[in-house]
Amino acid sequence: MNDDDLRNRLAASNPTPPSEPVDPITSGRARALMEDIMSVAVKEPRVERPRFGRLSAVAAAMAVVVGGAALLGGLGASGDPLVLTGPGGDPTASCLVFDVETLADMSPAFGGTVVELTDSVATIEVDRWYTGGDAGIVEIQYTPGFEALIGTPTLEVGQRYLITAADGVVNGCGYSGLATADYEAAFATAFGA
Amino acid sequence: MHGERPVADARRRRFEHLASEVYEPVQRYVRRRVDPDAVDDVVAETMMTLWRRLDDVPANAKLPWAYGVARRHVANHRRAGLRHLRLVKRAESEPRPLPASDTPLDAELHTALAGLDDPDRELIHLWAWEQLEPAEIAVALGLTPNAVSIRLHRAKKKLGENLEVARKNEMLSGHSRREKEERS
Repeated sequence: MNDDDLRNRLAASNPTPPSEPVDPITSGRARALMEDIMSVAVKEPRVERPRFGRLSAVAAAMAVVVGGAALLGGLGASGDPLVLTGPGGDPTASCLVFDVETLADMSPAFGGTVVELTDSVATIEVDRWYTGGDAGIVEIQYTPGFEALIGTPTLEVGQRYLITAADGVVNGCGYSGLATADYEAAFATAFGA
Repeated sequence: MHGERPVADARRRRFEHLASEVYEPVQRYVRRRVDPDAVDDVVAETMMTLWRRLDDVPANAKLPWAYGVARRHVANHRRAGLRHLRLVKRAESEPRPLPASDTPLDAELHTALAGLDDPDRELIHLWAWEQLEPAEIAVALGLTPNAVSIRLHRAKKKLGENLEVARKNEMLSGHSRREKEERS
């Protein structure tokens, strides 16, 4: 079977062929959706905001263990921080063995550098989104005093991490950690990027 | 503030133009990949992301880029069923529902596609269902055209092999059925 034959056979199995009608852009429903969307204010790009002038020298010396969190925001846009908050998770839970297939099921997943730490928030400047968002900033909020979960990364200002979450819970167990070359390769394999 | 209104109007016009190009094909893309009940939500989320990231949409590849956005929202929707998995041990994961369709099932092809991993299957679908060429698939997946060409070649080869295995299995099962009918 040559390429054309294969493509034609696949096209014949297309569950929604191009000829199948869908809601036209001119419909009242589509107009209402677009108007709703365009009513959402779009912020200026993050780089134009003086956000990073607030870096704290004291905070820079801190190291914080990040555990679970509940997702407050949904998908973040480029200008809206994605907010994760905590605590969460079950300290008695056991870890899955790390594998790339499980990693690929996690969302969001991103790489970024910790730019600010306080006693309740870690601010991460994202330089790469693998999946689940496009925010330039992720804020991980946590409650001081919660017990460290197994396998959670210790965040430090200036360090770059690869982080995943599931259902808003920042993952430990080897599914978030320092951005080493091997770890980057695992993320690239998992998310096809 | 003076001058904001024209900027806002210009942005609206740009988005309306983009929406007129991508809204319908994005609906088909999403319908092919998620349950009917979820299509409207995923399409709306995709359009919202396009509105927010309007300045990032490449002028020469709007639709492939929109497919890339839709792909992430589809993936998020699918993963929603797996989020309870967390990182604690579980015996089973939830099966992924197949999109509903009235298209006659090509059983051999369905089996052969099921034998591909998710990234390869998506490559094949973008090529055959969305009728994208490698350079456009590269935009949708955030890969280089060269990487797409290599991976697409491998995926098609693997699919061809799977089809051959499925065809032989179908022949064997048909042969077994006939033998049983003859005995009974």
